[in-house]
Amino acid sequence: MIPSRYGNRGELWLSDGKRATRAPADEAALIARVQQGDTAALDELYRRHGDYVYTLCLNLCGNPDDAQDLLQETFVRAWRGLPKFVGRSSFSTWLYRITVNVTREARRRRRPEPVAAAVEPITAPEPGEVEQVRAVLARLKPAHRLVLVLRYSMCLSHQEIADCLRWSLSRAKVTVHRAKRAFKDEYVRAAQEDRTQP
Amino acid sequence: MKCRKITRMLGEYVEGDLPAHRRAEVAAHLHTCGRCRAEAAAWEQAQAALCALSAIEAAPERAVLMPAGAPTRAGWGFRRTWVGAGLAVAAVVLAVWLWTRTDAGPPRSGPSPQRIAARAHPAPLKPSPTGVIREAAPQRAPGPSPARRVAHRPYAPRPSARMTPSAPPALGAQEVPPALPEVVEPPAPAPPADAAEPESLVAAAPSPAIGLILLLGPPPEWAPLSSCQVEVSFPDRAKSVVEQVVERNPDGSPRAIRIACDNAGPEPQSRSQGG
Repeated sequence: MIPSRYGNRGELWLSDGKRATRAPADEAALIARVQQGDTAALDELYRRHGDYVYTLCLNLCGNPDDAQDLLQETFVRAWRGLPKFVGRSSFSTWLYRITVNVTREARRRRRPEPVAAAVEPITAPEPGEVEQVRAVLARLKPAHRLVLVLRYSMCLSHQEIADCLRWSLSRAKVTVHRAKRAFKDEYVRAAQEDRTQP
Repeated sequence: MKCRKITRMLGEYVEGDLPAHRRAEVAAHLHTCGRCRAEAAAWEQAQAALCALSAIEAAPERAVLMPAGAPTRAGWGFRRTWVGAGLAVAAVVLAVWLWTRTDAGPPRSGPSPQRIAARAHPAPLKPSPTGVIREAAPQRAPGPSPARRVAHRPYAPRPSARMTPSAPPALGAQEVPPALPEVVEPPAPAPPADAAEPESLVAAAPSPAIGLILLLGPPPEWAPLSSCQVEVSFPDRAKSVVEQVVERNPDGSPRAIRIACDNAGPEPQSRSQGG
């Protein structure tokens, strides 16, 4: 089962695979205040969502420094785009969408994925060791890594992943399934490599 | 149920997404098949590893990461922005250096390139308050009005907008010096006879014939080409030189010349050339 998500301030964020994100009741008012230029409300939004956005960035790029840059860029874009936010999706989904776009652009700006990462042996990942799991994720295709992070780190449902990536629901489901299979294969391969190493 | 079918469902099985009856089928198969059981164990390990990603990392405080106030690229301290800004400044400095190096002379006081009008005539030219060369008391010949003549007959030759040193003059017998400045004649297609005169030409209406030259560089060091007397005046006391005869009268006297100007010239210059 995908673990449930509880927000920073005690709001329940269900994540049972068919869940719908339940935003805090005052979030709409908070967003309205931010849209009017209230920086204190922006601080509150940052306090609520900053950790999640940072975690998403960290799991996608794997580097804390880059994750901080992406976090900044995400909130700057969110601040600029909030006047155009009409609430068709939840604010968190909208924010994750911005994060995904920012991360993709950063990856495009960067040099291509280092080939050495695929060759470099990694230690066998053990459940609970997030860094090692990220090392396995880094071996996957970007799309697979993205959907796995959205699914297991952000605890998004298939529908939310589809909304976030502007995909169809079926495409989101199929991609998540293929990504899980790819992760499992890489995970087993990494464990075998670790066993063969002295 | 075959192993292949079971294997396809193992991902959903370990995640708990299978319906109850499918789940029971898979569980029953796993009791009997060791290979599928090993595969299910691998799925469970991968699932547990993925669930480790649900740990939320603490983001840096906004006060630490970003200054208070509305977020802007500058205000929130983008490190990479400084790289771009530095490159932009370097590009500007390089451009200024190249520009000054190309000029190779005192700084220009007026806009460059300048559009000036010039016309050579045996009679001396009088300075114009508008900075446009005019002929001084020319002998008006019968025919169309001076400005219209210019509009109908711009300087010849006019094969291209940019005059290069290799371009031969139309009627000038002498060679063009190699270090000509970039002299660009603005494209001036001849309007129909009843068309309105260009404003720049109308402004120089007292001259019997006016041409427009766009100067893009300092005047070269060269010898004048023809016998003519030219007096050029610019509001910013620019210096002018005769550059090339581009058209001659039937008697051989120059009718149209090109001039180059140097805005840094100390005072208006009048030159008389013998050729």
